[in-house]
Amino acid sequence: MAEPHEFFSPNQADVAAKVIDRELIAIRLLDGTYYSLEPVGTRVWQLIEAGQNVGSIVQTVAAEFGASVEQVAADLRNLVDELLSEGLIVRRDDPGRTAEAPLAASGERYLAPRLNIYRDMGNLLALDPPTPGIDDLLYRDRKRE
Amino acid sequence: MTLAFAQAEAQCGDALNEATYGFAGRPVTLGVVGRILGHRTHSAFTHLRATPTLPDCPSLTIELWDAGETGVGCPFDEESGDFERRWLAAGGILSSSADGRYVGFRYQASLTVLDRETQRILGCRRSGSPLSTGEYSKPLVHLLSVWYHDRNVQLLHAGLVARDGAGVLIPGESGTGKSTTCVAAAAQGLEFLADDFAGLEHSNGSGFQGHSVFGTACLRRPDLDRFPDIRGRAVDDGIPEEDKPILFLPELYPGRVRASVRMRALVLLRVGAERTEIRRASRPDALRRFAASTLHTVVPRPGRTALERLTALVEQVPAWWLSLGPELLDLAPAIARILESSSAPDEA
Repeated sequence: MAEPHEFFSPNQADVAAKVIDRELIAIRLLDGTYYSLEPVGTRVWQLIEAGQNVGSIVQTVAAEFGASVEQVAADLRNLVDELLSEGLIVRRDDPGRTAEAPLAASGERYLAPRLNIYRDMGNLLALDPPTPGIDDLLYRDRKRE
Repeated sequence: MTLAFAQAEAQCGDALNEATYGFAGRPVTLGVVGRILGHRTHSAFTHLRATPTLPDCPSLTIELWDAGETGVGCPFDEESGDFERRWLAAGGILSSSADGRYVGFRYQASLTVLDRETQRILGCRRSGSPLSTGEYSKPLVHLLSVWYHDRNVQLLHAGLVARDGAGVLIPGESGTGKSTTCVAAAAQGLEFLADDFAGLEHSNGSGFQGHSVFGTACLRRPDLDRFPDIRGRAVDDGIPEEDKPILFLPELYPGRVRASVRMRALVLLRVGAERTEIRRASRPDALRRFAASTLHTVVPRPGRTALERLTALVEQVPAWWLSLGPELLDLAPAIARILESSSAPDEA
């Protein structure tokens, strides 16, 4: 269970993620399982990326969405546990380099963050061996540089 | 390998079939020694025949030969130490040298190697066995995917059709109606670029371009039966378990198969609707659908930069849901409506 002093970061090695229109789309590159988060969850993701610890994220989200700290803390614990179990984030020992989080959207109502999981492509690909990624075939062509 | 190709050419020079094409606008020379192999390999690219505007110096040289017809065997063994890394992929074996310079792909009786330094693909094929649907309709797709990637052109698992050079990109896994939609669009007067693999390129100042990679489409037999005018001209590869006849669109619809277009709209298909309808799709919907179906069905699997490119695409190009009703004739008008309702990115 995530404690207030803990830091996390996106699992850069295995996950690609982008935010578009306040919705996070993330893909676990190895197996094609993909995920989405709605605005509150996306905000949590942005604050994780920015290097805030769990306690700080709870305070920020509660203030931005006008929700109680207790409610946000409980919801965040569940979300962080799920993000961890899906391998989308990893624990960090220290805050690392903190970054400015993007500005919050205003006027959004608080809804408990929920991780939407789409395993259809992952299930399809489970029939095949993991395919190599283009990043496995990196080549620096000095002639073209 | 280069020497082996020269030997094959010396053995059967009259069986050399050579032409220059434009792959995403880059000149590519394809030479094949072997009559059947030559005919079949060139057939997928005829719509990309080079125009006089292309530079003379090829960006890629492809040299293939038929080992049975020429008597020149393959001098290369990807089991050797030169190719240290190997993966089972797409029913074959993808291999790579430790530094990534050489990428090889073995599929049944074919072996091809891309040299990313000299920009050359060399390959040989034992004769006698039929080409698979994939080898015939989409030759060299995995090595070309790497070559395109090296030029910032992302190969996507998507169909691509157009009208007057304005392109509509259609993602989707197998069985989602992608090929049927693209063939129906061409049959009804729209332009065809791809039913399965399209190249996506972002150029500063001119937005996203879509490129045709192959001029073919593969339809399952029940889907092909919906096109009574052309089903008799589909080529059966003779491999019963594949059972996906190939259509060569430039032969069926001369002048309707284009090499490149500007991307104007994205279309997300929904099958099984009572009637054909369109409605706007949100950008997250578009990114979800594109990312899921295009990033994991291409070998080698695209990396995180591909997701960044797709995000930029859905930010710039409007997306639509197209619910597919039972009547094929409704498709082209629906795509035309989508195009009319989608302003060009620089007009938005």
